Amino acid sequence: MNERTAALGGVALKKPTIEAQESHGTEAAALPEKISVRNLHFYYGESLALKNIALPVYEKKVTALIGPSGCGKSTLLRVFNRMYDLYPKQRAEGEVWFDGENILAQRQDLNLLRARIGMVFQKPTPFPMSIYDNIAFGIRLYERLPKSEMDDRVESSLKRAALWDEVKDKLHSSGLGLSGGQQQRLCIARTIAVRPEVVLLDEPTSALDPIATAKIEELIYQLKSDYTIVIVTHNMQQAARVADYTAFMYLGELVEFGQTQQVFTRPKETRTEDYITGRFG
Amino acid sequence: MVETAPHTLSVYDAHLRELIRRVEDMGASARAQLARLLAAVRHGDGEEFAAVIAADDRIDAQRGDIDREALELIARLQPVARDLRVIVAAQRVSRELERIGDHVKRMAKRLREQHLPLPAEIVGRLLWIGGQAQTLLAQAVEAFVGADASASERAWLDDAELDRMYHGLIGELLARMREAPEWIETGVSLVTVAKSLERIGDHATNIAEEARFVVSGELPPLHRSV
Repeated sequence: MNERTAALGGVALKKPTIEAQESHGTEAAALPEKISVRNLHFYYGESLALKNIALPVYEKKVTALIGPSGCGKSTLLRVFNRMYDLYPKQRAEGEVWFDGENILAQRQDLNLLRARIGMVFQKPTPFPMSIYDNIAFGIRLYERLPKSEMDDRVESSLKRAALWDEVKDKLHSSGLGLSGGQQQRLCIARTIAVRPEVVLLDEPTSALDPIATAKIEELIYQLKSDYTIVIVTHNMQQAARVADYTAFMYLGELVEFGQTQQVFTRPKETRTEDYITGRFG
Repeated sequence: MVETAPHTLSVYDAHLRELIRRVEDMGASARAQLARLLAAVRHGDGEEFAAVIAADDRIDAQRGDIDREALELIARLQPVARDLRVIVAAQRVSRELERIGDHVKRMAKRLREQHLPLPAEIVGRLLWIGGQAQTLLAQAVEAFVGADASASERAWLDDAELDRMYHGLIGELLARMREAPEWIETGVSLVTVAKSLERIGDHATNIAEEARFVVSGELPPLHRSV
């Protein structure tokens, strides 16, 4: 049980594991699961949006959620940090295990959960404040740091988000003055500044040009050495490029989950094949 | 190709059909070259061997066209799953067909150098093996174009039969060379001709394996025994 788990006051349970095949499927390895979804159902009012989802999210791997609009991929992402709690009439049933805790349990400290499982959205959402304060703002919610330490944390976060060189001379300029791609990297820097364990990315490049997209994808590749990443994307080539594992969802169901190279070269399910080859509907 | 649901982007289907048509055409060229060579052997027609040698350029050009088409499709369509396998397999099949063309050309060069006509018994044996190679090649190309995964099993069995026929001919040629040393030069040439026919069977079997790869996604085996 780590410090934060203890802070949640939860009971540390044995973390479930699922045997996964690493590499090209020839070498079996038990990968640690950072998040384990079991029997998950999700409702918008009376409407069932996720149907009996079971999914492992492996530690320090990138997992992509793909599927047509309305399939439930963003809904699933929003379950991972209980974002749906902000809205009445939305509810989840089942289990989502995160370091031995079922995060669907009522007693969760949601602020702490969202610090441990950070999220970046489709449209860049910098706060209307300086670049420096965009990073420091989130840190101040959870920690009191002396200025020198805060400066270090802001710098290291911006460096980790591959933005430091571009903004180091204008840290006190407004974050809103940055380009779209820079704003999105600022949001990623803000997310990792509070030292999360999991980073959720909800179509993080859909509003960006190809160069800015490539920078974000490179960043995802670099970040996975330290973070577990889940990305929702409509861009299948992006999933193929950056994800270690890919889950295909359709009409609220998880149709197929596997290593990305398997899903994109030899999908097991016809629905997956039809979707990724552009034969849908 | 086996019917699959059409792509939402209809030009995608048109591009893939065109690629397969090119492979089918190249297969027809390779078959025509082999048929022409065997006809020249049957009729002892030295002029025809020169024509076969000259016509190999067309097969090489067809391979170039397929390579260019495949690269363009990969770059423009970013294919995955079965679409990707079709394109990769089409390139590999074109390589096999080009090598078959090279073997036919090599045989034509060897046979052009011989004093014709060859002994009737040897001609009969070459035509017999050549016929088996023709059958294998025709079935393999048909299997690829029709995405018939089941054809690979039959191809392996037919190729094993071709190998037995080849070894029989080699034994016959060696016996003749032992009995008549003045026949050694011709015999050695005919051994290489027989070897080319045997290799055509191997390449045809590889083509049939590509049909299985397209359907199942399983990579063709590096070695296999029947």
